[in-house]
Amino acid sequence: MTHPIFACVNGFDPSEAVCDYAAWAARSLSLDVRLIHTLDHQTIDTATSKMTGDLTGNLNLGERDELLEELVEVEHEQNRLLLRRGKIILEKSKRRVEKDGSLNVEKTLLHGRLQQNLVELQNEMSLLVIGRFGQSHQNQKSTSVGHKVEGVIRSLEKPILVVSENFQAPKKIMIAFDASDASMKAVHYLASTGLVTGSEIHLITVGPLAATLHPRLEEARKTLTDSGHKLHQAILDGDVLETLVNYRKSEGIDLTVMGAFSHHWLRNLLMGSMTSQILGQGPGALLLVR
Amino acid sequence: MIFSSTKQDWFGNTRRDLIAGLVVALALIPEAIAFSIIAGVDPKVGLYASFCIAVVIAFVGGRPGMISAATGAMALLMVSLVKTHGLDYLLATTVLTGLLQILAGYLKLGNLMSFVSQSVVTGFVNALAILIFLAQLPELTHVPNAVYIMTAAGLGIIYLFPYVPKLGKLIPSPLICILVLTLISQSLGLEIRTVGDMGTLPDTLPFFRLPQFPLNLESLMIVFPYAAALTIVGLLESLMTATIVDDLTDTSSDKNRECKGQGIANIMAGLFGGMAGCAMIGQSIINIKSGGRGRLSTLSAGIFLLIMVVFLSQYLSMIPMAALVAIMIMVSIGTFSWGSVKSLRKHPLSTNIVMVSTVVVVVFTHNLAYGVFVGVLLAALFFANKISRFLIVSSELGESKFTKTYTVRGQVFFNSAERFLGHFNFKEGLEKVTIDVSQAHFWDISAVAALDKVVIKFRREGAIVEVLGLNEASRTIVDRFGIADDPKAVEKLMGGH
Repeated sequence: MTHPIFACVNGFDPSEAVCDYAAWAARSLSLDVRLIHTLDHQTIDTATSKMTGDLTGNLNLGERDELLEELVEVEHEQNRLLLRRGKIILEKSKRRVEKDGSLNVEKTLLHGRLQQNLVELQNEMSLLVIGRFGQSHQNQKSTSVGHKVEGVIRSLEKPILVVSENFQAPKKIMIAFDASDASMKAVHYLASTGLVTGSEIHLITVGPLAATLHPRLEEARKTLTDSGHKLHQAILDGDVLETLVNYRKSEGIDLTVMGAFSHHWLRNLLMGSMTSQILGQGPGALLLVR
Repeated sequence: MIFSSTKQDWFGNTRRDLIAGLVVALALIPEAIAFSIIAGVDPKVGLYASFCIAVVIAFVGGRPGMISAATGAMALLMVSLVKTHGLDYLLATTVLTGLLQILAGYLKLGNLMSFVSQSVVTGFVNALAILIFLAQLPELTHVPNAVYIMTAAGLGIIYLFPYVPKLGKLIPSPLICILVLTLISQSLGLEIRTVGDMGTLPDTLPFFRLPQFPLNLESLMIVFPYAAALTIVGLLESLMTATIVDDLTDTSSDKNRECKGQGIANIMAGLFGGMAGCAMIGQSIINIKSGGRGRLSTLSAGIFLLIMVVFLSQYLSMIPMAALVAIMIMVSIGTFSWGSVKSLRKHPLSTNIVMVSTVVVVVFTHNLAYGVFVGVLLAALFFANKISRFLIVSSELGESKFTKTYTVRGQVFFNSAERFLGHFNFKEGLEKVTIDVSQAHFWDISAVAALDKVVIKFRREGAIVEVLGLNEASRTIVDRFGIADDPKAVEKLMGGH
């Protein structure tokens, strides 16, 4: 796997954390970093319509051509500024990633929707690092995950690292294990890549445990210990989400790993809220593996 | 000009021209009669037309050795006119057709033949062969068994007689077929259809007679559409036949003179009681095959035709239709381009589609003009599509990764404009875009509009756009191309190619 790690930088708060996590992952996995900044035109279009807001519904001779010219000029100016801003953000991010260490960093500036661009590029990426807030959430800090990020999580098939405000090199890692194919994949991902070498792994299962769970749990445990990880195992009871959030807080977990179900619409729908709840407000990150 | 011809044109090949003329005259009679019947007029209208057209075109035509006379393609177009308005309107239409064809000659419309591709000509020839064959079917349905036997015997004579030692090559086999079958049917007293049953044969020479036609706008409006259709079909068939004769004899012809010549011939035909006609592929091929090359062959064909019709009409009327059907089947088999069926597998699909659709449209509409129009249109579209593939757009990122240079090479025009647009990636966030079109050819306004679109899109995305070499590229916009005949200008245009 020689594809680089993709890191989405928007220039808002999580951007610095995204850079730091990307740098951490790149060093752990010995991969390059590709920084992505997108100029999403949806936000711009609203601005444009405000500027030319004529509601008379009246068209004069040659209005179409004039309007086109005007719109082209307005958008040209706006996008030129956004482009320059994007370039600066990319430069700044590049310097931050390169700060310590000899990582290869590439910059990509794209027009269009973030989700669509990432889907088109996903065959070139090995891991995506993304801040939990999208561009549109810059002014309303909340504990939720931006809906654009949710869209990205839903549509990509690659491992995604969703990060919150501050970087903290993951030392304590929790795997939320439900014996599904996806969570087995998550286990294998951690075991086979060097992402979390030398960290403490907590293999957590929640719920009244059925006997059928055992073989896979045993397999997961063996896989992780064989790959040389220090393993804690716990089987907890109670509401899944609540239990996980509490465990995360009490044990000081800084990276939560989950298998994500790629093709179940209900799961997909819940993924966003689950992600936000698990991330909570504190530092730390969530790794979703498909 | 129109009468100019060299001695070589007339007397370079006297003996062979006369013999070939006789053979062609024999082959013309059944067709002239058959086509008169298709058009719904007396056999004499077709026979007079064939005589007039053949004789006149011998002097004024642009293609020596080509046979023109009353034809099926033209006859098919006049059916409804004859039915509703009668013979005099047909004669007036014929004169008008001639006038329009002369006009076409002066407008040099013959040059438009360069748009008719080889596959269209092949398709046209095949369609004509099929039409000739189909025209024989009425003579072969619901008839006594004797007719089938006679037709088969006729075909046998036509194809086998040439193998008879000595005599085989001296006497045209269709002539033998007519003689033998006439003798048989007369001596056995067979009850089968003969030429005499088709209508009265003329017993006088054609005479000058103005059509009884009211010269007013109303009647002109009636005949004009017919004349226009006849003009187009007549010229198309004549010019295509001329091309075929050109190929067969490896000589060239004057297409615009042929247009005017067809016009004069039709005017004369109309004034002497004949219907409109044009060049005939089948008879022209018979003429060439029989050794005819010069203007004398065409002239003698017309004169022999008249002599036979007027002075031997009592014998002509005894000829059984089966003999003529056999001859026409031979003509249709000989006209059809069998090689084109074989090469269907070798030729590219687009060529085949052009050929086959020409055939299909002609056979179904019975109108050569529609078929040729469809064929030419398809060929042009396929050509445009092929040329539009000659477009390469390469791009290179600048040092800073935020500038890009696109280099466009090849042909940009209406058909490739969309493809041209597709080569640009508007998603990349770029500060400066350079588009180098100095090695491209912008053929029309669509191409320029496509470039405009690209520039606008990049500008909208915030980039500064620079276009290089647009002057060189747009020099090819041919509206300003009043220089087509100037070799220097063409040289300039082709610069770098």
